Amino acid sequence: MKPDSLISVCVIAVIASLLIFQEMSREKVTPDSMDGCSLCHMPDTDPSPSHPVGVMGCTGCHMGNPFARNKTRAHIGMIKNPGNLQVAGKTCGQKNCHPDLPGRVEKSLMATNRGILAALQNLWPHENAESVQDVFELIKRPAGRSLALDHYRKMCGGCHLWRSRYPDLGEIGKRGGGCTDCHIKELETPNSDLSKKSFRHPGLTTRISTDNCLKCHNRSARIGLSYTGRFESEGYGTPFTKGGPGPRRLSGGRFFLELPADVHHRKAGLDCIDCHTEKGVMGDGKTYQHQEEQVDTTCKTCHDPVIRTDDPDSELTRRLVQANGRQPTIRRDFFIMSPKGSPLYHLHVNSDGKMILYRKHDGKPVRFVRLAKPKIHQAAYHKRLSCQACHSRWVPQCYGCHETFFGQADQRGWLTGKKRPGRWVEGRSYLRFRRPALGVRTDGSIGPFAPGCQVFIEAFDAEGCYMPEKSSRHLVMASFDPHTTALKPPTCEACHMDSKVIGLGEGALKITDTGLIFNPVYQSARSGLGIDFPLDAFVSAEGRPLQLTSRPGARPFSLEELERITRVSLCLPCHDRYDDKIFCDFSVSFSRFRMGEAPCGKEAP
Amino acid sequence: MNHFPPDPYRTVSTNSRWGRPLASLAWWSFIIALVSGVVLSFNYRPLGDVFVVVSKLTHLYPFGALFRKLHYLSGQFFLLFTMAHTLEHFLKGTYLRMAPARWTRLLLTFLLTFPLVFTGFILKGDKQGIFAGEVMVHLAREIPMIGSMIADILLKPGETFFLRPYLHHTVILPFLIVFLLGGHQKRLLPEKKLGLPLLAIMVTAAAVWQLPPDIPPRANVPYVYGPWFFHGIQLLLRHGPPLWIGIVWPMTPILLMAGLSFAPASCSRWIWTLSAIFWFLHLSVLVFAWIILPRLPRGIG
Repeated sequence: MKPDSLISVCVIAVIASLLIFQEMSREKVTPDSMDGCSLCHMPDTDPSPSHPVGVMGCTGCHMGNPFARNKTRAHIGMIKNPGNLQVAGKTCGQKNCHPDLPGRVEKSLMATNRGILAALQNLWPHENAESVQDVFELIKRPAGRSLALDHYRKMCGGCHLWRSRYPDLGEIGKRGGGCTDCHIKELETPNSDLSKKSFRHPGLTTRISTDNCLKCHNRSARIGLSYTGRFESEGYGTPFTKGGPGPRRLSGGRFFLELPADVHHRKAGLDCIDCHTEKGVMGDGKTYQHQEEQVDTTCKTCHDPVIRTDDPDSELTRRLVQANGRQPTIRRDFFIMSPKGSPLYHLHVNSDGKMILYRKHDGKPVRFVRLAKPKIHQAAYHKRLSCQACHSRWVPQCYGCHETFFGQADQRGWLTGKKRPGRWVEGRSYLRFRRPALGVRTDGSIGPFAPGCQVFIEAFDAEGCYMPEKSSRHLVMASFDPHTTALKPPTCEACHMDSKVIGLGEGALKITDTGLIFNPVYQSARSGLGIDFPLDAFVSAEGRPLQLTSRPGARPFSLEELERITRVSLCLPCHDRYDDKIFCDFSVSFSRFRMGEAPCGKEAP
Repeated sequence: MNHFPPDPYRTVSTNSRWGRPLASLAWWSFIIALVSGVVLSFNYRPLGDVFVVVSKLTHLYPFGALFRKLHYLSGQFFLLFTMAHTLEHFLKGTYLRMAPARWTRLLLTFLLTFPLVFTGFILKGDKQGIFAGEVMVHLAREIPMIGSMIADILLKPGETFFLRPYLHHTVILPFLIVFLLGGHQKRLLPEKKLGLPLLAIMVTAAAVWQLPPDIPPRANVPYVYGPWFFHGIQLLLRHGPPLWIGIVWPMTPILLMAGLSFAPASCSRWIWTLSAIFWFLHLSVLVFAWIILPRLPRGIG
């Protein structure tokens, strides 16, 4: 053999020997293993029984290269949060898992925020050329000149499903993250070092706790707080404890008072998901502009249900029951569906017609009340009343939302996480808990209204000069379910004799033959607001609407309606029962009273 | 037994100082690629989740990574040595002493090495491979009249995405190359003396060198790249029509070189100069693309 060939053979032999040694000594992943991540990481617990790491591996959700043994290569394309909507189609939504869900969630209001964006762009200082339909569109756009969108980026944009999670930022850091936002069971203490082979994996669940919903639903309408009986109070922190502010604290340094919680929470211990269905929360694949269009449940869905003898989507029911894991697997002969076709698998109807709800979080049975049919629910004079109009005990009412834009300072935008010029400072005139004002909703029914929102915008440029063209005010009342349901409705006087409830605001109401005379308590003009009506006045005593509404067609009571409502109050001191005969046809009764034909009319002063 | 029948055109020697070694090295590279490819094919399946197949082959099976690297390196060496061998003939003008058919066979061999390496790139099954396959099909469709037919021959999108590139890579293109090389040179087997040193170099390189990382198909990455020789076209495709950039532009210098054997002597110099300019432009764009592509705005999710 020639020398050069000998050298080549020797080189090949040496390299081959080294390679054989390396191959023999390396840590093996068997071809049957799901992936090689377990060589470095192995969680102590599975995310959930339906997501066992031992069966599904890590890369099924977190992507990356399942077999590479080099850290850099193994982590190419790896996703820390598979629920992130940016990738959910490839992770949670992959072919054999939940292929229909990411597309639905992307169109849901929690992901699009279409209503918030539309309201901002319609009412706030805005450049029409920069208009967007939804958050995803806004994320792709560079920041522009629109103050409305700047406010969204820096304030409202903290709550939407496209947002990334920032675990180090407290409550606000836990918002967002796509599917994970709702379905995660947070670890009490986050893993500090994921490079350790053994660690705790955050849990995944379909038994979503109310606390997860409360991460976001604790501001604006504050329905999450109200449902659990908490009212965000002024920032005094009273009563003090040990010489300092009291312990009733919310995120952002806010304080709260304890008020009666919603009866569903207080008596039955129901979580949000016991009423709100998967289609109502994650959407049904259609794009909606308003919350009430997407929400898939009403009081009647459960309390006056349409009972079927067949299950039109038994496969979905089976999967939901299986995923929940705490629902009884008893045979059912009757089925209840939500208006959009979500199976209410936790509601059982016995053959005798009695209903039992099995709570989703623990499977505990709760006796459920079907809608009673007393005369008051059938009374013609109350046929326009929504359930919430009577059964909402209180609603947090934030009057006067003062938004000031300072062009001199910077603030972090939630869409990019980067600081941008301009800082928003929020304040309010005052905050109250009280029965809501009533008004007429888009569908003609009467429901509760509360400020939503009464915005006073003042803008200052980078030099600190006031910008009148970018400053504005718009006072809007919105109708929503306050989530403070009480079993017993208020008395008749509580509505018919309360100027606040009928929309005039707090003050002294006098009913005269010539009309209503109302003296408000709050003096807006003297308080420097630049308006000639109180912030809590939805309508004037002359029936003139004083504030905008958040939906087309929604309005306060008209003068004719106000007069009809208040006219009843004259009789209520004596006729305080709804089944009193005079209410069978109140117009006739009242005419007889005016003519002196009624027995009481002769004695009345 | 290992000699082809005498060919009257081969009576004139065209070998220069480097011609024979380069050809020999190219031939040896091809043989190493062939053997390592056969080894890999025992565990390669062009159906289903090919990325998982390749990942298991690379990371789980004993010596899988070594053979994959050997295959990769020998393929690249084959391309480079064939290119160098062809350019040497071109630059020194030895093609003038070569029968036109022999020069054409060499050019065809040179031309086929690109789809051979390109289909190998697709067969990685990772995100880059999938994108490369899609780009190949779209470029083929741009060819007037017969584009769709060629695209169908090259690749069929869907569950059998990798099947046709696999057939081209493992059967059709190697067979064609063997056939053309057989017609181009006298010996079926290359000179032995270069084989072992080249193998030693490749085994050493395969032992210490790391393959470019495979990008999982589901991964969100800012940008994917084609094979290194395609970067210039990848850059130009951002700005120009696919037919001109993807088909006409790379084919022009090769067609010009093919014309050298047939063109009259008066035109030959002009064609040579034009070919050289085109090669220079290709090289310049390629180098520019290597520099600029990683710095361009990212857009692939």
